[in-house]
Amino acid sequence: MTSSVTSSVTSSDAPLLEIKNLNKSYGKLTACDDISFDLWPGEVLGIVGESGSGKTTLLKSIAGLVEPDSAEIIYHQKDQGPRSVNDMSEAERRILARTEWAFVHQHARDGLRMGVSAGANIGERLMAVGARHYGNIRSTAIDWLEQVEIDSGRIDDLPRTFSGGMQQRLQIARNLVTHPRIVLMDEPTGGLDVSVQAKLLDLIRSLVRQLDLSVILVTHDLAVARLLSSRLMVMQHGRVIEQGLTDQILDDPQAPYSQLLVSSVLQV
Amino acid sequence: MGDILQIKDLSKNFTMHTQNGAEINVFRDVWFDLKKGESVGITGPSGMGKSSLLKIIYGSYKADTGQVLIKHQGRWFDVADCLPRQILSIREATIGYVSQFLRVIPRVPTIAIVAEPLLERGVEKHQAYAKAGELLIRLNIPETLWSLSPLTFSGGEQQRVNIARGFIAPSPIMLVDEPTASLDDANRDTVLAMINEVRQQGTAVLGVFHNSHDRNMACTREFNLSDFRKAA
Repeated sequence: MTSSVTSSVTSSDAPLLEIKNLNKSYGKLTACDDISFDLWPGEVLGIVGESGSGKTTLLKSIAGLVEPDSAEIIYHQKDQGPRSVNDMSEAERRILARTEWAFVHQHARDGLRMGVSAGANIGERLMAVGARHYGNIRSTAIDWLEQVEIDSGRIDDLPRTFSGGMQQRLQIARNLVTHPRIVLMDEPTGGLDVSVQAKLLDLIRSLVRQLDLSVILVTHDLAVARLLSSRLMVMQHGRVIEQGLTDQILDDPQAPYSQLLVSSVLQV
Repeated sequence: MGDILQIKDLSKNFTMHTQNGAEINVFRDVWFDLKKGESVGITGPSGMGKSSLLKIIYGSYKADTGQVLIKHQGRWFDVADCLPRQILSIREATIGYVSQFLRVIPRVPTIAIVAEPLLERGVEKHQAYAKAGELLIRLNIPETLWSLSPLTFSGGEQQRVNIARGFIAPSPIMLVDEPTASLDDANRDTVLAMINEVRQQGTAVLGVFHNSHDRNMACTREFNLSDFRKAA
């Protein structure tokens, strides 16, 4: 009766991003030790682990913000099929980083231009992809400020006059305005007050669904990982210790280190 | 005929690495079938692994040995040996899980939490919210609370919000873990009636129930898990 048990997938056919054998050392310290994984369309992949586990280095290596010692990164570009990111020219990578990819830094000031207005921060990425009409750019910027729940009356204010939570939301708007397909996020809720975190989590979750984003989310906060990600990788000492469905990793962790990580979280 | 879930030779152990590698053998060599339109109550004393069995079927616990075969979109999948994204796709279309605990993002209104599964299936927002409202009314959550986050609600209210969310888009297989545990009599009867309704519409229900009364009301047969307890 159960003669054919299927183990192949019916729906999504190809990953969006393939990372193969990524290595990065700082002197004697191995930050990423031969890491391989795929990111699938529409998924939020959480990478968890303690500080120093290599998760941020991994994310920055993928983004090209850190040069890995070795890695093959294959991106399935819109309408173009798989392309090796390694083979792209510097200029091509820059275009990718401004269009189909986005990077949300832990500290908004690393992802924003603090010396120009909120509207210019959003408009800049649009202009980088060819938008020239001032009125259109401004109205898109207003739309995006509203999407991330910033009063559009603040459009001409400098980001430094914003609270931490607003700055982070502005950074997200700046990143998403060009409709990227892949968003890399490094501790996006780190350093924010808990009440501000909740608002940001809610916002990120609804934007991911609305815009059908694929996300790699680095966080040390397992509660954030549970709320946002569908799949998890646990890292320790530069290696992937365990990976699987988010609720399986958190509810029935198998590896000793994952068990320790999960059992160390305070219950509230 | 009509099987939608087949469990073969299933065993579950926990190895507690943080407690000197202590081993807990939960159950061994479990065999079980579930058909469309039936509702089965898992029985057995506390600690026998009733909830663990549900979680293995849902894919949130790992199995040690055996198969958990689920008929998903006309084909059989072994959940114990599926990729994460396959399990997610099976959850989307075939398996629902309703626990007694609600896990939500702070700040999201009750009505949105309940409507979400319908929205995920592509239903229009006003229809999804209307259906969510119907369920909340049926479960006695007053309309004044719908725009609030359920985080500040009582345990029983949270449980009912969770049930509304779980039943708004019934899956072919529904796993229910003590859905009536902290409900008063009226709400308990509503939930038991809802389980019977989805079963009559063809859903296969597998559940753990708070007591024999509730089990008798909601189930067409029982499955005794203590038959599968073996000394290691």
